[in-house]
Amino acid sequence: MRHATHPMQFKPGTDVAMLNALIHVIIEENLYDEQYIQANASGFDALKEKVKDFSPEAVSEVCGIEADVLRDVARVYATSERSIIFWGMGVSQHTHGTDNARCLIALALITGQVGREGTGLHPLRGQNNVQGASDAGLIPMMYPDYRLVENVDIRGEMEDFWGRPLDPKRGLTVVEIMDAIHDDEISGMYVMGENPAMSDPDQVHARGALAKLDHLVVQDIFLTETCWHADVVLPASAHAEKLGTFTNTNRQVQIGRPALDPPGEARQDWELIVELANRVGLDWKYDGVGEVYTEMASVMKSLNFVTWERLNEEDVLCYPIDEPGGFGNEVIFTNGFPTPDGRGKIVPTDLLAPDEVPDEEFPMVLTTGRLLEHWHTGAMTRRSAVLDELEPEGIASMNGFMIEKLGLQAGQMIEVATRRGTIQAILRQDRDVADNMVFIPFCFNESPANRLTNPQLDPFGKIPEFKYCAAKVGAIAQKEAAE
Amino acid sequence: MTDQIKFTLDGKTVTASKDETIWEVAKREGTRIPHLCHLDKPGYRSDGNCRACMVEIEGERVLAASCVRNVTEGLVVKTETDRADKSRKMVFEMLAADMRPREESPDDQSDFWLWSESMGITGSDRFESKFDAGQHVEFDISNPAIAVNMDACIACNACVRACREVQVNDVIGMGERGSHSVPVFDLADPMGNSTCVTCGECVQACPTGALYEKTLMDDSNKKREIKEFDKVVDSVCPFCGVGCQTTMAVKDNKIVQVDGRNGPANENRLCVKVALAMITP
Repeated sequence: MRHATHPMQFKPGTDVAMLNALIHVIIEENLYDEQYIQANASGFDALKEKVKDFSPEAVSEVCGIEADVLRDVARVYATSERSIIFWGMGVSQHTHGTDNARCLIALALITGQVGREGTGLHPLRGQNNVQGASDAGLIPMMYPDYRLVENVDIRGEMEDFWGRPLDPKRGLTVVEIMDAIHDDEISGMYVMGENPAMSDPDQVHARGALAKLDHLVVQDIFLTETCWHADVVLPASAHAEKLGTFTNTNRQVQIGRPALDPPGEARQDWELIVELANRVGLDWKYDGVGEVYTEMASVMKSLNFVTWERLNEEDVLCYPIDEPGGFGNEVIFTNGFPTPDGRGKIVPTDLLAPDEVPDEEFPMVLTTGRLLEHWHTGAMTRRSAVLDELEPEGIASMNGFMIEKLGLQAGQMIEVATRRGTIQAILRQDRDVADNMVFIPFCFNESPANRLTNPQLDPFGKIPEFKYCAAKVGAIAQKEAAE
Repeated sequence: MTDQIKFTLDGKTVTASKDETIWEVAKREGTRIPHLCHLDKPGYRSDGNCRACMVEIEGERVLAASCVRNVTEGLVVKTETDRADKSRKMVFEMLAADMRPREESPDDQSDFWLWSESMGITGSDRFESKFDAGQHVEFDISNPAIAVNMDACIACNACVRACREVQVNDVIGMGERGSHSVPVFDLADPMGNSTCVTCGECVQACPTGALYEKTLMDDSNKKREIKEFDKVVDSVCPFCGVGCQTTMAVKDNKIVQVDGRNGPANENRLCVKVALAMITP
C-alpha cells in the first residue's frame, strides 16, 4: 500500500465484484488484446456477457472503491507494456477463492499480459517447498506432475512403474479428513511436518478429530500441538540437518544442505519413511536422497534434465528445461497453454458472498494470517529466542478508529468470539487493518486464531475461508477474584 | 555496439561499456581497488562517500573515486600510483584514528580491518582527536539480535542504502551534520524501539562491524568472540515460498551466522526469520 500509485483497500470478500469491474472496463473501452484472445484463449464471449452487469459505477459501493479508480486501474493494467499480478492467500482463502483466481486469469488472458517477461500471474506461496510438494504429487487426487489418480491410463502407468496395484479413489483434503474422522471413516493418521492442531480451521472441531483417532503418528522436529494428540512421535530432522531440494514459488529447484548433526535419536525424514515401509513389508531400498530424487524425477516430465548431479553443482535450476545441460525457461506459456486445445480457459464468475457475513451478534469481520516474525503455526519460530523477544505473545490488531469506537485501548487484553469459540489476545493498534475488521495471526497457541475460523470450503479448491468470518470483539469479561 | 568505449587502465587498453565505473572494470581486469562504502553486491548504488577507492586520472588535478566515476573514451587511469596509494592509505589511517584498536573492535575481520591490514595499517598512535564525537548514542544493544557500536562507524552510508534502497524499509537515515553525521534509526530512536524489522541487511552491508550480529560477539556485545568457523554451508531458507539462498556458518555443531547468498530469488537479501533467528543461542 505504502508504495502503491493506486492503492485499493476494498471491502473484504468483494474481490469478484471488484475484479469483474476491471474486466468490464477493459471490455467496454476495447482495451483487450483481440489478437491474443483469438490465438490463445477460450470463453471470451461468455465473459463479455457476464461482466456486463459489473460496471464500476454499479459495484463501486459493493467493493468500496470509487468508480474512477477502478477505471484507472483497469486502463493502466491493460495498456501497460508489461503488467504482472502478484497475490497472496487473501485471494485463495475464501469460499470464492477459485473464482478470485479465475478473475485474475481472465484479466491476464484478455489483455495478453502473460507469457512474456514481466507479465503473468504470480501467487506468492507460503512454504519453501509448497511448489515442490505439489509437483511431486503430495495432493490427495494427484500423482506426480498433477496427473489424476482417478484416470485409469495414468493409474496404469504408475502401477507399472511401482509394480503394485494402487488405490483408484482420490484422497481427502485437510478439512475433509477432520470431518471424515468425526464420521468414523478414518481411524488412523500419519502426519509429517504439519501442525493441523494449529493450522486447521475450527480448531475445537479439528482437535476433537485428532483426539478421536485410534492411532496418530506425528513425525516432526518439535513436540507441536498436533503431537499432543499423538500415540507415537517420530523424531525427524530439521532443515539444517538434512539434504534435499526445495522448489520455490518461482519454479526454481534449489538444494538445501545439512549444516548440523541431528540431535539424539533424530533421523532423516526419508529414512523414517523407508523404515516404516519396510516394516509393513514393502522392501524399499534407497542409498540416499539422490536416489529418491532421481526416481521422482523419472516420472515427472517437468523435471526433465533437472538432474540431481546438476543441482548439486549449480545449487539452483529453474524448470522446465528443454535439453540436457540447458537453461531453465523462466517464462512459461510463451506459446499457448498446456491444455488439450492449447488455449487458456476463461471462466466467468458470479458474485458469491463469504459464507458467514457479519450480523447483529457478530458485527465485525475476522481475518487471519501470519506475522513477519513467526512462520505459519510458529512450531519453529516461536522456539527462537530472537523471534520470541520480538513477538512474544498473542495479538489481535485493529485500526485506531475502530479501537476508539469500541471503547478499547491498545495494549489491553481483549476477547474475540465467533460462532466456533472465543480467544483472548492483546489488542494492537495497526493502521493497515481496515475498518470493521480484526486481524489475528494464527501462530500463537495461547491466542489461537483458528479456534475462531470458519471451516467452510471453496467447493472447487477445497481451501477453507480463513480470510473472512463474522466476529465479536470486546473487553475481557472481568471475573471477580474468589474471596 | 555504440556504448562501448576504449580507455587505458594501468597502461593497458581496455574495452568497456559507458555504464561501467572504473572500479567495476578494474575488478574485471583483476585489479582490486580498496573500497568500503561501495558494496559489490546486487542492488547497491555506489555513493562515493568514503574515498577509499581513489585513483589517478591523467590530466585531472584531483583524484577520482573509482566507484562512482564512469569510464569514458580515451580516459587514462592509474590505480597504482604513489599519490593514489598514499591518499587511500591516509583515508584508512584517519578512519582508524577514530576507532577502537583492531583487537577491541566489534569485528576485527571486517572489510575495514582486512583492507587496513593489506596496507600495513594496524591502528593509530596519533593524538586523540580534539573534536568531540557529537551527541549520538555510541552503543545500543536494544535490538535482540544486532549490536550497534557507533564508535566503529565511518558514516559511509552503506546501512542507509541497505535499509532504504535494497530492502526498502526506510528505518535508517543519516542524522546530525558534518563530522557529526551518524546513522540513526527513525527519529534517533534506540534500534529495538524503532520500526526496524531486523532483516539484517545493514549488518551484511556494514564494512566495519558497527552494526553486527550479537551471536558472534562476547557478552559485552562490543567485541567479536567467534573468530573462525568449523564449516560454512550453502543452503536455502526453510520458511516461506520465496526460496532465499543462505550461507550458514557453523561452530561446535551450532549455527552462529547466516548470510544471504546471491540466489535468483533473494540476491543476498533475507528476513529476520532466517538471517538472525536460526542461530542457536
